[in-house]
Formats: sequence, structure tokens, C-alpha cells
Amino acid sequence: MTGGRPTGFPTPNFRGWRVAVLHRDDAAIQKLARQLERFGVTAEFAWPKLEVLAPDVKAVFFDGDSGYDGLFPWPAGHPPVPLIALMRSEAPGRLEWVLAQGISSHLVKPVQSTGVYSALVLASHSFAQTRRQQARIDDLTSRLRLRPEVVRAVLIVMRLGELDEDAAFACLRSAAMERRVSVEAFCANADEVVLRALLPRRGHRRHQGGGLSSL
Amino acid sequence: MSAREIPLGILYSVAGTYSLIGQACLDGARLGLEEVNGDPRYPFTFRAEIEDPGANIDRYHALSEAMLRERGCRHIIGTITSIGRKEVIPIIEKHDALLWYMCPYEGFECCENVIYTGACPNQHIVPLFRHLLPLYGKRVYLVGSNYIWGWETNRTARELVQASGGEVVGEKYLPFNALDVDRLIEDIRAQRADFVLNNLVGTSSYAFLAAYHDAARGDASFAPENRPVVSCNLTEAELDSIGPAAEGLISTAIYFDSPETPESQAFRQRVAERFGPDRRNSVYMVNTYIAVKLLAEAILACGSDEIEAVKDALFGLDLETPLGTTRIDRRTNHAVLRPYIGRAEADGRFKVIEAAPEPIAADPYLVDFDAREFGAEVNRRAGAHQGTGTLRVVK
Repeated sequence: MTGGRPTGFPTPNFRGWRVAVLHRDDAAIQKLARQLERFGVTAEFAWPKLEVLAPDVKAVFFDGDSGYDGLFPWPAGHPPVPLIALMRSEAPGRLEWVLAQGISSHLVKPVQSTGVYSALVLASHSFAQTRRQQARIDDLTSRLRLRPEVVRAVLIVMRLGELDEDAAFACLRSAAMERRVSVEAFCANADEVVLRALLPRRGHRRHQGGGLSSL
Repeated sequence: MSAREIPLGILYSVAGTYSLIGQACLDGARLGLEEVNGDPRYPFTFRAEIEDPGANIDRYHALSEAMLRERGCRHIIGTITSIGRKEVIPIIEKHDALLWYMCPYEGFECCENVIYTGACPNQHIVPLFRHLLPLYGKRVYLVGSNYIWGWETNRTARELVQASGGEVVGEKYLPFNALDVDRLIEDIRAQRADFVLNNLVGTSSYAFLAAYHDAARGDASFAPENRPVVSCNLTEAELDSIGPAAEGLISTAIYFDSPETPESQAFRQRVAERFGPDRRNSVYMVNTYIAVKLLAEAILACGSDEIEAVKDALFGLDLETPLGTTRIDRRTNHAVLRPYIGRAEADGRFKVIEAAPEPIAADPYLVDFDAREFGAEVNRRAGAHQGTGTLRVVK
């Protein structure tokens, strides 16, 4: 970051990228294509519909003024690559439609040379960030859903091993780590037999966590 | 047929931090204008519309607007800083005119209404660091004035240093016109950098270089042979303001007023005749001179000053200039340039210590730059230098 704490942000590079431009091909939009070419990016035009997204297309620019449901070959709002809206209209209805598509950035029409590079940088950054956040949300949601399974397993281990709550959880966590799964996933799949196997044999019982005395 | 008069806007500030550069640019443009207007080969003359924004950023907008709207200009040669250029570009785009920008800059721009003939990063900081890192070492200190030129050039420098396995041991900025450089000197002393990249501008830069020079008296680590101060925009235009502290500074430019080339000698002759024998010639003067000549040649070729026609003609030109053969790349609107590395000598000239083997196309977005390749090359060259133990001087 410059103008702030220096970090070492690598120069964004789009060399060899292919992008799709969903816009009627005219002189103004050719300016976008020329600017993209200066970053080493090849643009392919499609209008009025993108039939199929080629696997090596890394971003899609589309006409936010004339876009309509069914323009894209993917479920609405779930683009598999960064989406960049080209907008002249600021009518709230158009903005609503554009937002519903899950855009990662936008460019004001008529497209000028200035702005295309930052739109690509912002879009790819924001798309990747949204993806990471979504993956984290999915993971946390699924773990949250499995929390009752953890409670169940903790209670079983406490009972079988005569352990306190902390010791029982520590036992489950280390078993999950050994198997490289989350505690929740481990607990969801562990029945009493599996859980019993985690515990030391009778006679070698160790009290962990300094909780309950033996019965 | 009476000669047509074509208005040509010239917008340089000859006051403030950049006054010496502005004066050099303005005088270079004047040389070009006088040459074109005195040459019967051109069936037109230029009417110069010269304006001085006086280092006031708020005036660029109004002055360029007046040139285009009221005085019929379709072309403006001008601006030094990126701040100034970015003020003018929206006006230029609105009127579909052409801005001729002649200074080295930080890149990441490619406006179809601008012709860029100054160096961009792959033509300045990249070749400079490719030269320096193997020779002096990879502990680098970065300083700059607190605005985009310094920030962005230092960001690129950091990328180059890190790609080479080196370390940025300090990065400090001063406000415009700040003269308080003592803490900077002390920090450089403490951090034991191998060299210092100076992106300070104007009076801050002169104060820093004077203090650095003074520090060398009591501490040999500040001597230019041990820890040189280097930059991407220092030219002959500013050497007199730096005085004896200039000796040993290393800079990169697409032109040094080096006595070896006949074109350069001829140009220096013209500068001396027009502005007196003591006047410094520099890349700024040469480049604005060339801008006027390129524009004149393009108009001659296409018969119009209308910008699409001029651009088309311009991209087809190969003009012999003091830089060698000057060509503008149709793809980027940027000039194809040959970068040099020079060291300031006691006589106030730069000695060329390395030259790119041939002119290189501008890569304003560093599309073809590969940090890993750069790092590998630096380390290869470092090995080669250790092998011979001498500095190979290339001309």
C-alpha cells in the first residue's frame, strides 16, 4: 500500500485472460476491447444472449442498461466468474436488476480508457473475497448445524470415560484433528463404539482436566 | 496558397517545485516551434498558445478548457506531474483533443487522447534496478515526496527488490517542499542500506541530496561509491540546483546529453545558440522539442490537425531525433524508447554507464513483466559481477 503502510502489493496482471463482453458491438464498446487488449486480455462479444460460458473465460462484462433475466447461462445471482456491469442508466429498477446478478464491480458508459483496469482489479479481488467469505459461511453454517452432535458426543465421552466436560471435548478435538476433519464432522459420524475406542483402557484411566473423581 | 495557422496549446508551470523542469519543457517546445515555423517544408505554422498554471493545480482545468474551447486548439503539449495530467485528461476527452505528455511517469494509464513520450516503469525503474541490485546489493531504502509518483514508483521498486530476494530497509515520505531531512539521513545511516532510491522532488530533493553529501564527510558509507542515491527522474535540468552534491548520483533517462552522439551534439548546439552557452540541455527539453516535431510531421503527412488523422499518421512515422529513431506504438500511444543509466560527473554531465541494447516498447501496465524472471536475472548478474570483480561499462 502506498500513501499508507507499505506492504508489497504485487502488480495485478491479466496477461492471457479471456473475457466475455455481453453488449451489442458498437464503436464505443470497441474502446473497451482495445483497452483490455492493452492488459493482455482478449474480449469476445456476445449479444443478445450468452449461450454457454467457455471454461477459460475469466470475467464477464455485460450491458446493465439492457440486461434481462435469462441473459446468463447460470442460476441468477450466482456467476461462476467476476461480473462487471456496464451502466449508463441510474434508474433504481436497473440498479436493482444489476445488483441481483451478483456483480463484482461496474463501469460507467460510455467506457473511457480510465477505469477499465481498476474495474478488473476490483472485480477479481471482490469476487475472490466473496468466494472466500461464502466458503467460510458455508463451513460455519454446517458446523453450527452439527453442534448438537458435538454435545451428544461430549456427554457420551464424559460418561464412558468418567471425564469432565473440558477433558471430554479435548479428547474429541484431538481425535478429529488426527483424522483431519472438524470436531463437528467427527462427532456426527461417531457412535458409541467409536467414542469408546478413544478412551484409555480400564486400569490405565487418566483423569484429565482435574474434574470428576472416579466412581 | 497562404500558410495555414494551427493553434497549439502549451501548458507548463514555470513556478513552484517543478520550475526548472517546466522551463526546460517550455524552452524545448519553443525550439521546436521556431524550427517548424521557419521551415518552408511545412505548409502551415503553429500559433503557440502558451499558458502557465503557476504551480496551482486548480488552474489546469480552466486553462486547458480555454485553449480547446476558445482558442481552437486540438493539441496541448503539457503537464509535468500525474496530478496535472489527470486534471487535464477529462477536458481533453470531452473535446476529443490530444494531450502530448512528455515526462517520465508511474505508468498504469493508457488514454486514447494522450500521446506519451516519457518513460514508463518498464523503461525507467525496471532497467535501473536491473542495473543496481546486482552491483550494490539488495538492501534498499526508498524515499519520496508524498504523492503518487513517489508512492507508485516505490511500490514497483519494492516488488523488484522482493522478487530479487532483497529487503526494503526503509520507506519514508516528506510533504512537498519539506526541507527537514535530518531524520531521514539518520535513519538511512542506521538501516545500512546498499543504495537509496530518491523520489523526492524539487527543493526537498535538493535539501536531501545536500545533507546526504554532507554526511559523507564524516561517514564513508554515504559516499556515492558505497551507497549511491539513485532516481528515475533526475536530469541535467536540475544538476545546477544540486551543485557539488550531484556528483555520483545515478539516474535513468531515455536521453542524457552525452557528448558521444552527433544528434545530441547538434541539439546542444541549437540550445546554446538559442538560450546561451550555459543552458543545460536535458530529456525534458529534447522531448518537448520532439513533440512539436512529431506533431508537425504528422500534420504534414495527413494534411490536417484533426486528431484521428494525426494519430493515424503519427503511428506510421519513424522520425530521426536526438533520441535516435522515435516511434509511437499504436497499441499503447506510448513511445518506443531506449533507457540509459547515467552517473552524474563533476562537470555537470551524466556519463552513460549502461544502455539498453535497443529501444523497448512501453508496457504501461507491466503486462509482460515477470517478477520471478526479473529476480532470476538480477541474481544471475550478481553472480557474474562477483566473478569478474569489475563494473562493466557499456556504451
